[in-house]
Amino acid sequence: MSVSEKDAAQVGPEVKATPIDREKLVRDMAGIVGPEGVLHKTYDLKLYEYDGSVDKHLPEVVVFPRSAEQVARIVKYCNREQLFYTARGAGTGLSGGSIPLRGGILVAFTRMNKILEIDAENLRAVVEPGLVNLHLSQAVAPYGLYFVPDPSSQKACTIGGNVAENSGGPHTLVYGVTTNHVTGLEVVTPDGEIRHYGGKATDAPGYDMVGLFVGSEGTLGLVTKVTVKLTPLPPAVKTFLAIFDSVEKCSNAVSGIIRNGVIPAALEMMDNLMIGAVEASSHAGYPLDAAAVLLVECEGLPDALEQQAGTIEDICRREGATQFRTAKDAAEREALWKGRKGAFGAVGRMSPDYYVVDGVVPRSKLPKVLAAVGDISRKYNLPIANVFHAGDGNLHPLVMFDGNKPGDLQKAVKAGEDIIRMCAEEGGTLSGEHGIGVEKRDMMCFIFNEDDLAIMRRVRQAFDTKGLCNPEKVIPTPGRCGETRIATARKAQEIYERDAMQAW
Amino acid sequence: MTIQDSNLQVMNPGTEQAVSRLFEEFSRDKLKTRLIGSGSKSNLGNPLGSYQRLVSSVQLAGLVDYQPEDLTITVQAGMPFAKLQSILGEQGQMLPLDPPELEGQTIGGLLATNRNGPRRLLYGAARDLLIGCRFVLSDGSIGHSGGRVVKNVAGYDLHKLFIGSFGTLGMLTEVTFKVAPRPQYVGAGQAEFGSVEQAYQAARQCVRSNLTPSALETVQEDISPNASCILLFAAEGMRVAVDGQLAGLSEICRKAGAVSTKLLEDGPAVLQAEANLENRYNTLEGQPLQIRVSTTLTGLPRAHALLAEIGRAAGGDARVVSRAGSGITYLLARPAPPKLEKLAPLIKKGREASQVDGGSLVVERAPVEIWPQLDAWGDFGDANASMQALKNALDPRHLLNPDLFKL
Ligand SMILES: Cc1cc2nc3c(=O)[nH]c(=O)nc-3n(C[C@H](O)[C@H](O)[C@H](O)COP(=O)(O)OP(=O)(O)OC[C@H]3O[C@@H](n4cnc5c(N)ncnc54)[C@H](O)[C@@H]3O)c2cc1C
Repeated sequence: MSVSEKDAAQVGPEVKATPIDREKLVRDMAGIVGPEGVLHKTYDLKLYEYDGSVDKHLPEVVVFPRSAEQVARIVKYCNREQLFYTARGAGTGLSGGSIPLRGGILVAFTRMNKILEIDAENLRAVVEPGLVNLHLSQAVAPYGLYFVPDPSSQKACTIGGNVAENSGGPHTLVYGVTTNHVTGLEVVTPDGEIRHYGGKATDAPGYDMVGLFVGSEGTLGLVTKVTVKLTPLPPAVKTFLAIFDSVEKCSNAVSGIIRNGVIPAALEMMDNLMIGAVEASSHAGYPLDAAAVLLVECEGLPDALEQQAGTIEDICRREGATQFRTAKDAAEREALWKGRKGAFGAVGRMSPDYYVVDGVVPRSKLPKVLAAVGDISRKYNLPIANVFHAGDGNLHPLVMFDGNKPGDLQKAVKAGEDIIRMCAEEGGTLSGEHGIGVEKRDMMCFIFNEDDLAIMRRVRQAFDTKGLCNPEKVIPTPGRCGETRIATARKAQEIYERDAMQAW
Repeated sequence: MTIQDSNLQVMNPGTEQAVSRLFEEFSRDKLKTRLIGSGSKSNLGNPLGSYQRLVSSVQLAGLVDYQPEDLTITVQAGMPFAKLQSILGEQGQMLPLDPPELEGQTIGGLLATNRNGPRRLLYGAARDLLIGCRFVLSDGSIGHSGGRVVKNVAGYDLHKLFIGSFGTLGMLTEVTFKVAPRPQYVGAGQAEFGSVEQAYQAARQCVRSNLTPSALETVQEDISPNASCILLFAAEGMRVAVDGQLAGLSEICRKAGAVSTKLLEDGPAVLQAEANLENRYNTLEGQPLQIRVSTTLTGLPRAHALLAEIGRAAGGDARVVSRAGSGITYLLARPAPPKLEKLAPLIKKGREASQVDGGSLVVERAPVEIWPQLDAWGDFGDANASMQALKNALDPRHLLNPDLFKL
């Protein structure tokens, strides 16, 4: 019995899965999606037991539906047979959202990856959830449009995963995250029915079901179709680096920019350790001797753009920036962004393992909080590199460790927890974009009390009446909140071997 | 139906705890409760069913936390909207929501009814600005969702559910917004088109262009067939940039066939007047008919024609105005005397025609006689079961604002 199975047996006595007749299950699933749509050999299942986080658990089968009708039949089957089911996109999630913690059926959406309609006149596209994020923006570029949310994992992650996690990205600072760019959903609710919320039009009467579903981490149902907003590509962009000799000056510049209200399209920060990792792996053009840099991107009409960039430059200089470098052409711009988007992977090449922490603080608290991250690094004697969406106050400290060294993983997880606790104490939150999943489930009580959680449980049960949909995620079992989940955190080594991660 | 009409005493709890205690008691006694802010929008939507208690949030009106440097503010939900704007204004900031002005209206009421105005094109609607809330459910339980940071994915976004819920899920007690710096300059202009279709086409071209208008509104004061139509446009930001934007928008309109274009004095006043248009029809003397259709940008001309037809059938003073960049169009009318037997079937027909692509027709205000024949929101399609499940989970005894939503 794996650690998380033991966990499940203790915490989830209210829902008992029936002992599974695997052969029958495979046969029945093949009856719904065809034999080519079912994986069941342990060898194959092994590829689907983890995502980008540190937890893992094997499903009984992986099924690849091709239509909402098939998804509905799968869910109805699970209801009849009392089987757990969990949705999976590309498995790039960083909080364990797509791990089938109690086994059962893993519903993989990778074959539902079509763009069903591009309605450029109405600035909408209708897509299947398994579509890769970047493929959408590429497909609508000829119309002069793009899909704003651009997670650094956009070459691999799916729109369904983005919807479930309410994902952000470097360019979501002014235009908003996934929830601000989804107007309609088709969902198979846990009763096995296909339902439609919103559509191409906005302001649907009644409750904002789209707003509730986006960010619900696959716990309220399975998304089978997404209507997204498309945005005209900016007429011009200007990308530049502001270089600082201290992290503090750099974070002061960030809060100065926000306070001033000249919010650029992207405002990303990297510290020295991160710059070293990025340069070692991609030669993007970041200065190795800088204590910190700000990667700034302004968009708009050329005149306004120059003016905005000028104001930002003034603020940075006032806060002590030593140097400014503007990307001269598209190639330089691309190199800078490639370096930024490849940052996690770069750390992966530098350290045997790393743990990505995702927390948010009010932007004015950045200087204080970054200093404290440094203290935590020293406390645990683990290097922590910082690369993050500074404009939103969304930190991503990367805690480096060696999973082969006894105690190192535990230390890394502890350091991450210290960071998150501090974010919560400073008036921030547990996650800006990577989700709660299983990773932070038992930290929910840092910001929510039992009453808050009880209400969330009521909402969840309103949909998932049988408790079979993505079990054990997001909302902690009553009374268990606050316990460190070190027991279920595992060696992260394996995750770097997986296919999807190679993309970076 | 104003508060004065009801012979119930208004209860004004002054703390969240007090709301919770009241609700707990009402729930024990199964007392149906009407929730209001200042009561300024009582005539929006279906008339309520019978209720035994009346609770207002106006005593929950305090400032909780304001961090100008973080561009976030937390206030109690009963704070008047105008007060919130003046607090923000002192720091050169604003909540970029521009609903029709109504004396005393509270933040909570604005959210519950999901009001907004022309500038939503640039800044979004309440769902894009509200980042957290505290609330009390009908059984007295207190909860919160979101927080005070602009990016947050911890837990369900319950605050989004309260927007447009018309007080049927619980009472908002505290809300947090992300706010924006006041623009240095707001400029506006208008173009006149020979036809409604041309005006919408120009609006679509503005939306697809390099420009970032903050408002695009079509206004048709004379709704007889083939009448002309105005497209109002606005831009905001630094003065030079705004001038450039307005020139660009005028140019697009001219190319799209505008008969004339001109720049208007005092952009902010122009936009506020546009937001306030419905107030002219929503007066105590008259019985307003106010219908909203949500559709796609290309669906707007058809929706407009449909509303104009209803307006003509209603008789009296009527006009059609649209948030032409957002796919929202309104009929504002004061039928005199209301020709109800003709109106209800026409509205129903219009509703059916509107229910494509996630579109909808909502009767926001109407002469009271019409309600028995018509539901304000129409059916929620196959989303109905999900909404019902939510209602049952959060207000299991259906005590709050009874019968407003037919769930
Ligand atoms: C290198 C790297 C960089 C990253 N950068 C960012 C970033 O900049 N911003 C950011 O926000 N995230 C980032 N992430 C995290 C991750 O990529 C996002 O959370 C992404 O949206 C997950 O998409 P996915 O398709 O991989 O989903 P998965 O990991 O497969 O699943 C994530 C969640 O979505 C649910 N889900 C998937 N499909 C459906 C569906 N059809 N219906 C219902 N639920 C579904 C799953 O059950 C699970 O809970 C990064 C990850 C990596 C590895």
